[in-house]
Amino acid sequence: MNVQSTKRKDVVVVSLKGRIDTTAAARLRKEAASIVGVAERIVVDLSEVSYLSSAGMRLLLLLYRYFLANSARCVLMGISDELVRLMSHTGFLGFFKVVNTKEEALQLLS
Amino acid sequence: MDVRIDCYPTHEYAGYKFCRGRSLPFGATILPDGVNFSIYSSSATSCSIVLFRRAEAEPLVEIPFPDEFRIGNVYCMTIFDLDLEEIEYGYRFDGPWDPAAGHRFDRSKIVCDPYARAISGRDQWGQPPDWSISYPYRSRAVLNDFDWEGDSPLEHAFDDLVIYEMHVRGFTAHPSSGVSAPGTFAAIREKIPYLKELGVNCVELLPIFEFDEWDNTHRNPETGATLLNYWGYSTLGFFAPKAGYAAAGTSGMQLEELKALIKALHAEGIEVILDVVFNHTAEGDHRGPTISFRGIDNRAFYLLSPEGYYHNFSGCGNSVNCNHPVVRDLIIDCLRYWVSECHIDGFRFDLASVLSRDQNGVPLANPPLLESISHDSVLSKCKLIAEAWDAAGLYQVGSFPNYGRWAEWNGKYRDCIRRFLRGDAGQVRHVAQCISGSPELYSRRGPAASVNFITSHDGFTLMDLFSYNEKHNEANGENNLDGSNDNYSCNFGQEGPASDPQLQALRLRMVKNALCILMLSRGVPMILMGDELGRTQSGNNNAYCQDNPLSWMDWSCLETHYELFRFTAAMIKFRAAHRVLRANFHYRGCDWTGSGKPDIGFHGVKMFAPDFSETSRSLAFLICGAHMPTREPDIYVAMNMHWDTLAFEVPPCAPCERWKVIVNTSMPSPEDFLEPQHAAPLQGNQIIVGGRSIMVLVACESEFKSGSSEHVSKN
Repeated sequence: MNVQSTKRKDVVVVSLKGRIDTTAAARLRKEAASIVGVAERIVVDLSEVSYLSSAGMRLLLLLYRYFLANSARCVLMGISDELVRLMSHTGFLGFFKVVNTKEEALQLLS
Repeated sequence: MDVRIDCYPTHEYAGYKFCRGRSLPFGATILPDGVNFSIYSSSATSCSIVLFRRAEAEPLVEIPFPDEFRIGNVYCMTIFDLDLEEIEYGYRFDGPWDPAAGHRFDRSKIVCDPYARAISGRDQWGQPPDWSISYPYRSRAVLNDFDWEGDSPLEHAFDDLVIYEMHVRGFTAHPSSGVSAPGTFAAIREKIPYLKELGVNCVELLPIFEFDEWDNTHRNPETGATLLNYWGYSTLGFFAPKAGYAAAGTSGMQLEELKALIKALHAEGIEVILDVVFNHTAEGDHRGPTISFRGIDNRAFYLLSPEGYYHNFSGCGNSVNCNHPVVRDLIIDCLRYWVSECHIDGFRFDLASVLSRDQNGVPLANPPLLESISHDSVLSKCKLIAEAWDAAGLYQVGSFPNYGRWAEWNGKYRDCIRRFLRGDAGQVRHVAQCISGSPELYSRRGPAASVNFITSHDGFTLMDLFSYNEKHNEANGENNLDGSNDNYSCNFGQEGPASDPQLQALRLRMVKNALCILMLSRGVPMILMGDELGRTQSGNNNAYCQDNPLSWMDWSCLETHYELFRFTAAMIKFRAAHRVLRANFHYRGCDWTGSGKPDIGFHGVKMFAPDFSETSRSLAFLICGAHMPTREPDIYVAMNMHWDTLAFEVPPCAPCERWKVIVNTSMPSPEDFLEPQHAAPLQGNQIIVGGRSIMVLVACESEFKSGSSEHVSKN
């Protein structure tokens, strides 16, 4: 897994790439605070996530709630159809605000 | 940094760090840094844990339990730094091979944990397995931190339930279902609006514990195709939901998907009952495979003959030793798990009479297992339903050890109503019992002890009940020898599908008659999946191996049989609206509120003159709504299972009321069921009930303030 964080104005885009499995989830949990820094609006870009395991899904939800608890607004962006199905079937999808494009993300966060 | 002061590696083996574990709880428990493994065997001489990387044939490592890791008869070990999602595990036991003494240890086998929360190996339904894998069903540890968001079991009153008996796969596997992942838990979630529209408030799922659909040996005699075990009454592990029933099964997330379904059903007021099969396991008799229990503690888990062979009270090769203290604990742990972790609302116990047998197979008056279940703290509000018989002749309908908690599948109700419906003489007196919640069987327990059904997965569908005289199970590959011969069915002149519109109409009417009686009877009604759409299995009354359109629900029938769907939903709604129909006390047949009418009064073609004779085929009854605290309207029902039309004299209703015909099964839709506001008041005091038809009248407040002339004439 690869994590990149870019900040433009007050929007932080966290891009996750590759496999989000147990190992990746453990790493993300430790680094969550430092990845984002101080932000009010966060877009988690999952468009280059190739695999999301059960632990990965849990971590996403923990991250998402961590951001919300720290007064940030947050959306997930660019989830592949396959992952949308998996997240829907397992009941995870309903917890998130999900968008397809960056424009939608900015609109929803503004 | 560690989280706990008592949890750190003390041993190392082939790079794996571990320490002595905790003996309880059994199974694989996830800790902050590791996994605690615990398993029981009273007679093993040694044990090792075998770890695999997911789906790989060869193990990663096999770690023997050091002697000091055994506490009592429990082997326990905590292993650190395991990637849960990538690890599968099993155990290898050493011990005596001495069948006469009950021991069948086999060092060459790796066995599955009886407490495994997930079992991999059959992750996708119907995917042909790799038969060369020596350890095919593998235990997995799973995360259990599902967010229920406040959900809990619904605890509906038992007498308010309308149960829908459903096969997880069969409900949506048909291409006509139009769901994203046919045949799965997720697909049921998509179909919740359908269940709501039908009006049921409980689904009873055929077995969802992991089983191997490939364990059936029969072939379709015509095509030669392998027949799968579609029903799944063949448990591999009691704590593991079937992965192949989950769209997310290949991702190992079947537990989450099931929980998401339960949560969504609960949000819509629908309970979930599981059909659980504790009477036998998938290991068969002495010729069967060693999968788990046999290789762990054969003598504890199974009922054995003095020679060490398996008692077969289940008809499936073996019988679980349910009243052995260790097995009792396993079953209680299991039920508690499903209720506390998965919010299951109740259980239907397959061949539950096996659960009442002692360790020699003799029925007990006070079976410890059933007593424990009945008084268990966690299970105290969940529904307990017994299939109160077994395959060795123990038949306990009405006498199952119940501790005031258990309901029963009322097989006598099924047989009586079937015979009455098809026009058998001599049933009417028994029908009166059935309508009343079978007080002769459940006088002390109340009507809710009786789960009323006319069809279940086991036997004909409702449409087939009136389309076939004989079973047609040739496709099961057993020369039509399987399945029951006592179906009390009737084809009304032609075996199988009919092109004659009159015959079609008669069969449809018979189905409506059946559903009508079911919804008017005190007790808890259960409908078989698809009966509301006229589902047929082409006369197959034992479709356990028919994973194909023969047993799947065809959703296009919602259009072709909408009339039946509408009628069923209307009858369910009618039952819901009239509490008097489902009150949890038996009718007494007398007036005990001073209403001037008995709570139930039986009538014949002449009022006050029910014909209970041996040649009678009709019965009418009047249910007095004033016997409910809510003072409901009276209901009059005339059931004519004679082939010809009969005129029934209708008892008068109160001066300010008029009878309205709500149900008339001899009429085509929509007049088969009319809402009271659309129904015309009855003229006169007589109704003509068509042959093999039922009419239901409700006393509605008269639109006229004072009695009209018709009213006067009625009194």
